[in-house]
Amino acid sequence: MKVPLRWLADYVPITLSVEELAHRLSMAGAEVESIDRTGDWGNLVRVGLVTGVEPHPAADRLRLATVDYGGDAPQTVVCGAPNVAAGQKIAFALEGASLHDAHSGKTRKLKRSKIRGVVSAGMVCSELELGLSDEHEGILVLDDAAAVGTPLGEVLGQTVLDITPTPNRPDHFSVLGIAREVAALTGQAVREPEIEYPQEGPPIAQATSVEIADPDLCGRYIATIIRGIRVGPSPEWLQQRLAAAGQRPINNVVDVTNFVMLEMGQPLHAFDYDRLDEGRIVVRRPRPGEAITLLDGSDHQLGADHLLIADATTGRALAGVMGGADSEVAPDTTNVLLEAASFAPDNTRRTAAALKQRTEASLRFEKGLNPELAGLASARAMRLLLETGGGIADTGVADAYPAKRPPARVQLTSDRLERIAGVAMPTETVRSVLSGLGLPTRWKPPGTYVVETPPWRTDIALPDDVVEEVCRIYGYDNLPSRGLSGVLPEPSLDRPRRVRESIRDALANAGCGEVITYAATSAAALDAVPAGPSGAPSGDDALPLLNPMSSQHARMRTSLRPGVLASYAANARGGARAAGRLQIFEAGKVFLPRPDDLPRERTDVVLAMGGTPAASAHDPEPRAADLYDAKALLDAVAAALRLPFDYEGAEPPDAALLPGISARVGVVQGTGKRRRVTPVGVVGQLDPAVAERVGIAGDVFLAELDVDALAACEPEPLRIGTLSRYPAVVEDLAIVVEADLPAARVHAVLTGNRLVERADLFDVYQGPQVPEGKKSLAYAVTYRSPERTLTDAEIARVRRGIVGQLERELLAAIRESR
Amino acid sequence: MALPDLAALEADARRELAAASDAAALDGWRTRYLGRKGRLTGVLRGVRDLPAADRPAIGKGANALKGTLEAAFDERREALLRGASVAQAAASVDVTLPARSLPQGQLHPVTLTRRAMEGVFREMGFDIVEGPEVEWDSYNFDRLRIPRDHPARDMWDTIWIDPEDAGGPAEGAEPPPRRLLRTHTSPMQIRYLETHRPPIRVIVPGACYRYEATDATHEWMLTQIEGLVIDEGVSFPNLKGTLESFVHRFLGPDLETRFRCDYFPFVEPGAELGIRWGGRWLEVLGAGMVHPEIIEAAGLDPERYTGFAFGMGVERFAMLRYGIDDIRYFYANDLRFLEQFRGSAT
Repeated sequence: MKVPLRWLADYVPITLSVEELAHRLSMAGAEVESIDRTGDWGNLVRVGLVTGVEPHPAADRLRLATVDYGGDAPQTVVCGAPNVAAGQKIAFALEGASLHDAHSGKTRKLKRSKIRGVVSAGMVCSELELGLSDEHEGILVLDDAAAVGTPLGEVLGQTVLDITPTPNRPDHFSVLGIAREVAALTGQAVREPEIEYPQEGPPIAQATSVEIADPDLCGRYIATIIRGIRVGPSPEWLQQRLAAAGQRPINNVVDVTNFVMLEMGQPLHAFDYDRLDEGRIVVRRPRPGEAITLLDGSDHQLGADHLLIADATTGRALAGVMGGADSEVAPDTTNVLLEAASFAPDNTRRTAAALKQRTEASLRFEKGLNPELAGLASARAMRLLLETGGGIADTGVADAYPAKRPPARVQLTSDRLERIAGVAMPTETVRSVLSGLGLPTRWKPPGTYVVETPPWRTDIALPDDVVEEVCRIYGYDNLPSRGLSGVLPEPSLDRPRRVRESIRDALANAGCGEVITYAATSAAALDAVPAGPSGAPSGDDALPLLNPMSSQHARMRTSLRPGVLASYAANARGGARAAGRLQIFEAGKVFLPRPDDLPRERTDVVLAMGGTPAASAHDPEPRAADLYDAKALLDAVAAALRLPFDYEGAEPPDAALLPGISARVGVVQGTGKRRRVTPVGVVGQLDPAVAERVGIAGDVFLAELDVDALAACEPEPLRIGTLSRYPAVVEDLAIVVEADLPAARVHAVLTGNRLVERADLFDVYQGPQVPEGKKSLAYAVTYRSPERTLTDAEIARVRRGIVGQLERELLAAIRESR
Repeated sequence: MALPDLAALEADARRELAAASDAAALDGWRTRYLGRKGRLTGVLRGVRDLPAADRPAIGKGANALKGTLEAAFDERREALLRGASVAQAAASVDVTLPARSLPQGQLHPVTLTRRAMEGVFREMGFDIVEGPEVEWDSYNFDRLRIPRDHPARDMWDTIWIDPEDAGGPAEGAEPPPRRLLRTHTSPMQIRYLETHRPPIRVIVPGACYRYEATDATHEWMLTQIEGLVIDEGVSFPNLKGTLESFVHRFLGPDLETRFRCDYFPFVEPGAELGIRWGGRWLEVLGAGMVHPEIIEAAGLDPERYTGFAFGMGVERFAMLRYGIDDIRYFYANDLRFLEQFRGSAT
């Protein structure tokens, strides 16, 4: 909303600097986005008085004008304008002033020049030269009241506040509404505009009637009539007001309706009365198939709720949005029917959106206007129409008002005010703030303010709405600040959240970089990287967005894999990271669709790693990442969560990973018969075909963990036992087994004996020293008893037991022992 | 019998010790002086044969010398050890060579900032919960007093999942519920109130989505922290005090702050907190007293319970804290950006 300061000053004296005014308005809720200044010509363009005009001695079409501009002596300049005359107040530019040049279209500095032999050091300006309009035929003649010597900016310049109203304040879409804010903020009263007008014509009931067929969509409709009005250009003051507020002047009738809309916030519409069939108004829903052509020439097929302002037969305007083309006020119009109405805000908004016709009128109606305002605006516009176009007003108004209610009253107790504001406010302060805002307030002892809602407000329905009015004008910054006190709530035990954060820390500490990718992706991206067994089968199953930001972000992801791999690919390509180890992860939500319900939102972690570290002084031939590096990162997670991880060949295989180089990750809980493994994820080498699809060259390893499943596994409580005081005995044991036997099976047997403290695999060998198809696993086995020093004989017995079990259960052979 | 000459013995011992330049020579020296048959040991043993008058002086002197020589021996031995290492290192160590590399990782700046913000609120006694990112329009809008076709919906450009009036509602019937990507974390106010009673003091961090073209200051995915406090006796000054305390702890104790009136349909009065940053006022978070209708809809007596709510953007605070000038860096995931946050625990 553009609020010209001069216009604002019609209703309330401006007692603050414009900057301070803008600041106070913003703090109170009417945010001033910018202060726009137009017409600042500096000190070199001033109000001048033409004291004399003489012919140019050497040119018929030129004259010499003598101008008093408040300088030491009047100055004589050459002037080509036909309308220059002695006694005029004009805009006089001195040498050096920056003016608009008609020929080049650029701004240039005015220079002393000789025109047909006469030296001219100054200029009487046209509107074009001042940048005010394209008008170049004659000079700009100023109002007689302008004082000679005043910088022109002070007479013609405009300072305009550009205000962004909040949706609850339709009154801020009006100059008067802002004036009320200013009045309240500066302790003044608003000068209300004049609304009385002479009614000398016949009773209006003889000429028109108003019928509201659909009162759910129209709460009030007022029609008034002027006969014999002259349609023509508006007076200068009206044109200037509109232009300063950013509206193009059209003719006096249209200009008055626009002026009152900008002044009071109530949209109005003027019909050519003689084009209304039977001269009457019917507010109704359209008939099936009904259409309308609007003022801007656009044609619209109307839906069931697109409310029409019709005459006896035909729709003439789209209610609250725009008038129709065939009832428009034209230059030959003599009788005008003026509409001031109140339309349902939600329906107006829906209609304007559906027909793509969001207008100044619909913008105001959709925020909800008080039907009382229509009465004020109707009278105000009638007064201005009579003033600017003459004619005679019919007596009375045709007012259909199904929504009429007594004025709303809100009762606010001083106790409630104090409980919200946190301080006791003096009654006088409260009353002065509220009356400054134009909210009639009565004090009902012992402690209640009775506040009436004025015609321009719709946002004051509850006591707390009044509290806000008081606090914002009093100033939020003038209220005290206090810390919280009272009882603290029970904290929520959100284990998935804690597990997720622990995994983030564990992976970052282990050398991985965290990424966060968009939660929406495309079906194609999801299909490029097959999801794990718990993901959606295909990208087409992922939840689609109705209005995505782009086709790249059209579905909610069902897997983190595509996003993390895309990040991996982008960083692997990016110059500095082209060589080296890359390890990144994301912890985020995936969205698993459920019919007619919100999707299940599961938190996953996906890790992608690969590459070879850059060669260094200490490691000239570094090793490429392999599966065991990826497992090391998962072990860091396992350690952080105190959940032992177990790896087993993935079955069924994960479609994104290479079979044989991929494993299911499980959490082991319980021992012996109660041992169970909960699946929590996968790890493995990304299928090179998939890697190629997502733009990754070289081996990359991927791990995926289901945070919710991990969170469901509780770690064993940590119990610190007594440390054995007896010595350990370590011996090596090389065990020959089938080449494809998982080492974990051997380890389980070794550590199954309670006298074996640990068994560490230090060599895996396949080659000439073991039979074909076999491998040798060499373990350092540590024996220790918590109760005594083990003898050689006891150790030999334990070893025999273990070896026997290995031979029986795993068909193993012992290669050597020492 | 001549008295032993301790001074001469010490002089000999020190001279020979200084000459010993390897482990074998050191061992020999110790045997000669301090060993079972060593010279000093001999003196100590001979003390009892001395005249009674001389015994105390000589005995005391010999014992002191024993301590002195043992210390000298240790010192010499350590010097030789160190000397050997230094000599060896001089040939192969260049202290200016780069270190061996340990793998280095880092958390995302949104994670770091979110956690730091959570930490401040946790210190103030706030609980932390999260909520769904795909929401019903009733939670995201209607129950926050933003009905369908209300102009306040323009404040949140929405990415929808379900089309409007899918299936066509019967005349006068409630329109079918629609799913959307939540535009703010405020729906969790409603959800939390479904399961919790006062005292309520909670923050809700999480991702939100807006149908908004991206530029240096706008992203369509963003992270918000919502706050809700409801209890007896909670007033606007508590809102001010809590949020001022937050920005002071998070961005600096001397930061200038101000509150201006703003509008959010689910609060009344509504406010916006601004901070003075780089000479300008920046609005950094929205807030207000919880609307009495929301308290009432939660089954609480608005005459007894009052409260405040607030919402702020994590990325915005991260940009302030780290001087980031383009919000698009956050989700572009360029490691040149992310790796700068190594070691930024807070």
